[in-house]
Amino acid sequence: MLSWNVSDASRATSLQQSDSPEFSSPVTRVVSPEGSLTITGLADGEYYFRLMQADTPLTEPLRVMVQHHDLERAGLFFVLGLILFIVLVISILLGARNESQHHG
Amino acid sequence: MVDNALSPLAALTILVIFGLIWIAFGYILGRKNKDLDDYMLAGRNVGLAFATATAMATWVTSNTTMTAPQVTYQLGIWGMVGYSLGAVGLLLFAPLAKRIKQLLPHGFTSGDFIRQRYGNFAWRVFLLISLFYAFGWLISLGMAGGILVNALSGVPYHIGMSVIMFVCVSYTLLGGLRAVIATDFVQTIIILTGVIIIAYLVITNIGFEELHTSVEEQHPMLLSLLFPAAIMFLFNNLLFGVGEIFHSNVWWSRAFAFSTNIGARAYFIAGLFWLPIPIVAGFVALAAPALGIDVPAADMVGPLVAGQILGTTGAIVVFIVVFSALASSLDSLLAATADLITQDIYRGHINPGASDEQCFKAGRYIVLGLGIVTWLLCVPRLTTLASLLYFTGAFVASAIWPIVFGLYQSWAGRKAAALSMIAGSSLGLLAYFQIGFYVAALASCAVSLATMVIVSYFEKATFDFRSLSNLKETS
Repeated sequence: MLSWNVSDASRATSLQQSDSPEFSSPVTRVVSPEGSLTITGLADGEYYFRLMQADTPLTEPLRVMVQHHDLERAGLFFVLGLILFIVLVISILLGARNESQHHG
Repeated sequence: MVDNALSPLAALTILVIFGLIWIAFGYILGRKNKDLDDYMLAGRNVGLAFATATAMATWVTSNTTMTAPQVTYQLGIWGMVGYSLGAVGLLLFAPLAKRIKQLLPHGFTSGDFIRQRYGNFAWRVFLLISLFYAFGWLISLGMAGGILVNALSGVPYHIGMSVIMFVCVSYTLLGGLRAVIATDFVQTIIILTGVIIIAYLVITNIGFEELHTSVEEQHPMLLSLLFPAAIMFLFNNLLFGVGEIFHSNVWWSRAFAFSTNIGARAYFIAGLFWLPIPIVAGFVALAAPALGIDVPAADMVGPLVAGQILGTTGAIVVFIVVFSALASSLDSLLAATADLITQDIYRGHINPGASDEQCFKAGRYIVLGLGIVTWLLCVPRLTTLASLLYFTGAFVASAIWPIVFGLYQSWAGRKAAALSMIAGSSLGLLAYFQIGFYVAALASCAVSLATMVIVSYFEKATFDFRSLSNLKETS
């Protein structure tokens, strides 16, 4: 989440995003007077952001590094979760089956 | 910039009208409550239709309608799918509900079971976890009300939040669980109808092609099936949902309240009906880039998009749906948490000889007190909905194995149960801060399982389940 001060918030009309500090081929995002913007789903890499008032830059570029978790680590958590889920289902099924045998 | 979809006057008018209807409901139904069983457990004979509706409506919370879009906006496709895995908790609780009703025919709360099954120390650890979760959920619901009203109409957060809290506390106070379940039935119909309308309008207003192109351009990782955080989130959310449902008195009180042989079917059907709702809600968030909507905070994305696409009429539909979802959960949580505090803190610790009459009276004061404390904690708006909610995952997931093994396996020991909850919660919290919100429940669950099995092995306990059916109403 990016945020900026009240004075800039009242004047800013958009936020530019680029993967170069020269802002070649920027992506332009709309901003509101709230003074913040949440940007999600960016791939790994270096990004630059600056507020604009119409066509004029309002702030200095801000450099942001995006680095996602290692995919291998994510895979380990996934497998651990799957194991826990299977153990849970089996525990409940066995318990319910023993219960119905006891009462059946 | 997006203009408000609803005028402040329209928003407040809808709130007042629905508020008055719900409070009237609470008052009328409350007159039927003669004793503690009526007030806390709706007389213990709720039928299948109402049982299914209340299970589904209670689980469709404002989190479903607002955090599901937030999670989709942050974690993409897997975020949406992962959120819908919250249905697994309801599905798996179905056999547990049957077992609970059978083992404790006169039980009142989840705390009753833990105390009888594992003794006082584990009971107190469980109560801490349960109350912490209950407050976390209550705050997230209160906050969601304020955020919703603010996002759709510009009415300041504190006003919207306060009005919604006042309405929900009022009818819960007046009507008890009977009012909660009856209003849930109405809210279920509103939610299901509204979600279908919203899904249809989103798809017809913005084609899949345009939606896909904008998301791919501006938020490419959201469409990636190899988004690492999202992969970690999948089973975390499933286990978080299981932990929430398995431990929370919201679901145990319903298991006690439903007629015999109703609980399992009601929970199963409710789980199936609930499953598609977060998918639809999450899908709405993916329309934000195509619409050029700026999202100041991620938990606002759902109502912002809905308000933009749907115009004023659609915004009213969204408003009513989310209000219904919110109210149907807030009332359940207020009632169930008040029950837990009444039975396990007031009667369990403060006034052990309290009669049902005294508990009935105390329960009402506790509902009011809970409402006030929740309001106070909502005022500062400390964080986003998802961050708050998933923080509690570190705690609730630790209670899964004490509950499951406690219900079915005589070898589950007292020390094991207490230690597994403590260890699970601690490591879950560590994972939350060191890695992220999307692994806290999973870490907690894994550590809890290992602790439960290992310590029980050394404890060599053998529990006689027949002792649970001797639990009397006033013990």
